[in-house]
Amino acid sequence: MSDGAAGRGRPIHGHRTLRRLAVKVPQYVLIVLVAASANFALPRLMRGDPVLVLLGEDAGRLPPEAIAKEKEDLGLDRPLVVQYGRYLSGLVEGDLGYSFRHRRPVSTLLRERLPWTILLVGSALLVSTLLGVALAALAVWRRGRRRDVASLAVCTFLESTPPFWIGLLLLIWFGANLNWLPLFGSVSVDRSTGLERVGDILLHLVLPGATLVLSSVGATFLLARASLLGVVRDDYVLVARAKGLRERTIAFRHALPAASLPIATSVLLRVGALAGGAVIVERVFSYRGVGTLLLEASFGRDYPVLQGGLFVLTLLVVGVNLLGDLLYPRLDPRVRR
Amino acid sequence: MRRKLIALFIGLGLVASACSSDDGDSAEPTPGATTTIPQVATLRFANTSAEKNITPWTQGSGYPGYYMMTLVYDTLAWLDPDGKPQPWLAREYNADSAGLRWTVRLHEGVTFHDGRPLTSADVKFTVEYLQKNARPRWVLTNIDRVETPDPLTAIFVLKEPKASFVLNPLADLPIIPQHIWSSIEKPLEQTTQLPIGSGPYKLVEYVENQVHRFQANPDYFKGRPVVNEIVMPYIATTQAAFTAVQSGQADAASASLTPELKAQFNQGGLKTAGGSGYRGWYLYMNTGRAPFDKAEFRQAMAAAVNNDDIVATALLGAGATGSPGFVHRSTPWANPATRDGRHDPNRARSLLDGLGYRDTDNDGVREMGTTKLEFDLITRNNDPVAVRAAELISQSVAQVGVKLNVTALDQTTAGSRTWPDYAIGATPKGDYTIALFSWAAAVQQDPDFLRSLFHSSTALGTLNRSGYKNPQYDDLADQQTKAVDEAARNRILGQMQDILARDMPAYPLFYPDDIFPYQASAFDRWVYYKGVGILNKATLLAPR
Repeated sequence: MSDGAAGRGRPIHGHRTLRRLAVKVPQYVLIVLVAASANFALPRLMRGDPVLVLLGEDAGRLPPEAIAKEKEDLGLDRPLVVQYGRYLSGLVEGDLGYSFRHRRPVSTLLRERLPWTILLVGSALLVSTLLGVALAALAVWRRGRRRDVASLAVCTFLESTPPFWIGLLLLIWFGANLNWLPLFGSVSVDRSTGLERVGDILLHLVLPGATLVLSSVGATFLLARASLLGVVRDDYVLVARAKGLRERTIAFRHALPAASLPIATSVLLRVGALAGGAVIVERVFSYRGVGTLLLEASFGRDYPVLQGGLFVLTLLVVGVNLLGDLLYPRLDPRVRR
Repeated sequence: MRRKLIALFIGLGLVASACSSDDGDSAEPTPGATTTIPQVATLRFANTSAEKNITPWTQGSGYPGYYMMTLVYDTLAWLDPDGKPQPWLAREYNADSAGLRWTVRLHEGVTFHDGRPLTSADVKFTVEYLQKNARPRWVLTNIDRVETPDPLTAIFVLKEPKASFVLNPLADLPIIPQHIWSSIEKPLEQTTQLPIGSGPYKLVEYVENQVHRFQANPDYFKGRPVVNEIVMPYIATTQAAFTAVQSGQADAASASLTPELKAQFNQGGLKTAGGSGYRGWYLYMNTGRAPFDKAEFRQAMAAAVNNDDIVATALLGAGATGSPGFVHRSTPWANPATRDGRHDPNRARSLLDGLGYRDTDNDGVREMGTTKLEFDLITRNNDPVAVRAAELISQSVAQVGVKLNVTALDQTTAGSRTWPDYAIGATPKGDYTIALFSWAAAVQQDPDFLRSLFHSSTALGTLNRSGYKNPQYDDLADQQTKAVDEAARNRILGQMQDILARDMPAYPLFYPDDIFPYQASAFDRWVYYKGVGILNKATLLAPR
């Protein structure tokens, strides 16, 4: 990255960002292209004919013309190369295709579902990061004591537990014992409005959100704990301690900012993993997000929804990673050079 | 931190209790009602099937999908809960002696939900519209024309007599309004426009993957339904649906419990409804693939399997065993001679010996030359009962020296491997050797299915998953379909069962009991529709 300009005065941030973009964007475009092709190929590698799923398994009762007509309507009579070309040119024009099963544009379906997934993943990301870092700070502050060991054990356990299992446990436990949280859906089916609706949406968020938080808080905790342990022995912490500052102040004010760099990076990188977990969690709680849509599309071999939905998810994850790449120099002065 | 979290949770709890409106599902008697049937305000029915819009072209599953659709639409005849056809939209129907002209007389004063009358013109239109836009369930190519001498009379003129004509189309085909559908060119695209029918309920709201909401039709020609509103939230997994019923967040569910949960759902305010069903699991053998191309080999497999043990172990006794003659033993056309399968490992062994398969290398698996009797047993991974049963089958055939490796696949993949490819216009060949899979109740409700299931012609044997070929059977199957005389038809059906029991292209293993959970305080008069489910017109209409 560095050239002759290094050391010859202060770098101009805007200029740097542009140059970084010039290097990174082609890389990301290539990634998106490869991912888009995979999104096209993978659904078609699954066995099972979409027309058969659509018309019912006893489609053989229909006259062959009816089946041929249906194939033609869905564009499945064309050679794969033509289908691929149409898909790519559609993407360029911003057209994600038309769902086989829903008979609606994929973009409309995604517009309805994406906000729910973003709400779920976003709030889970926020809560699990705050919770993980706070627990780590408390644990390091009292490292080696009972609370540290306990948090370490619990978080290691959660980290290695599959989300659907946590989800099922929460579902059964809350269903059987604490019947004040909704067990299914992203909103009540009775038509509430205004503030009541906001409360209703938040309530529906609790169980799926908690599942995602529980299944991801361990990773944050372990990472934050390791980075904090790295800085806690540094000289400036010793200086702070020598100044007579309270341990809690040292942990949160001095150690945490220094240790935040890997944590911040991991937050952005974890968006992909959380989105993957959301697919499963949405199904357990019948949450009306992209995950439910995609899972059903995969059972029904609804190629356009799979292609389009996965493409948008790819864009989101790649976009967040790009954001991380661009933000990193601002967080870490060392990489600016 | 922890204290704040607890406070947050408590806070949310308060919001929750404040938000929840009153239940609205408490039963209260209707003033002036002549019967003692209570009028229920709202029923919440957890739906585990991802149903779309419920028109005849967009509706998906058999149960609950078809039964949701027939809350909105009516059929000319109707199958009562025992599966016997009764008049419905039609006051009466009868055929001429040749069975070629069916005269249907409609009820007077039946209207669609928008107030327009339902007449014979709508019946004629429905048939013609379906002939143009075919659905696998209603292939009406045998209907030459429908005559409408007056608004209340429709005469179906057939090309050939059809013995099952009352079962389908009369008792199965929903009548759609001509004034709405005549302008619809692509019925498969009707995914958002709410349907209008003549049935006891109107669909007033549908949000895919979220809810179907039905409102009672107060002017229904067979009387006002006993439940005012049915809300069907979509719940993606059966476990979540059961938990929702258990906790009172739903009043009943569309999915049947696995047997071990039965006791848990029969305590407190919880009850279960259901019974022995026709939905069954069948052991299919690919007759186009050696060694399953030999009837003796297939007989050996059937003799090796222990039906009773599967019902006792995998279903905890909550189910019935199948018969070698394929037909369910409680149907009127069941052949008593082919009712009972016999678990007989010694017979299996001697059949395999006779075919020349012996365990020469003493590894517990028989072989002949380089052919070892080891196969994949394909089944579905989304039904715990199927996987358990497959394991038991594998254990019991291992006793006679055949090794089956249980291969559980997702439903669409399993379907695509076991389904005859000609269903989608290719040559018949299934990509499997032996498989365990299920047929819906419908297959046992109409004996005409015996033709689709085993006829060797690709046009007629559209459900022939075992690739079975037998000209004698084909001939009998063609005869029964036209046999208008019931006794004569049952004789032919009996002969067909004899052949199936001997040739064994598929062995019906077991029929799991249906066990549907519900909250008794919300609604306690569910009618189990034999072999199908509890959401249906019989449940929702007061007996008259």
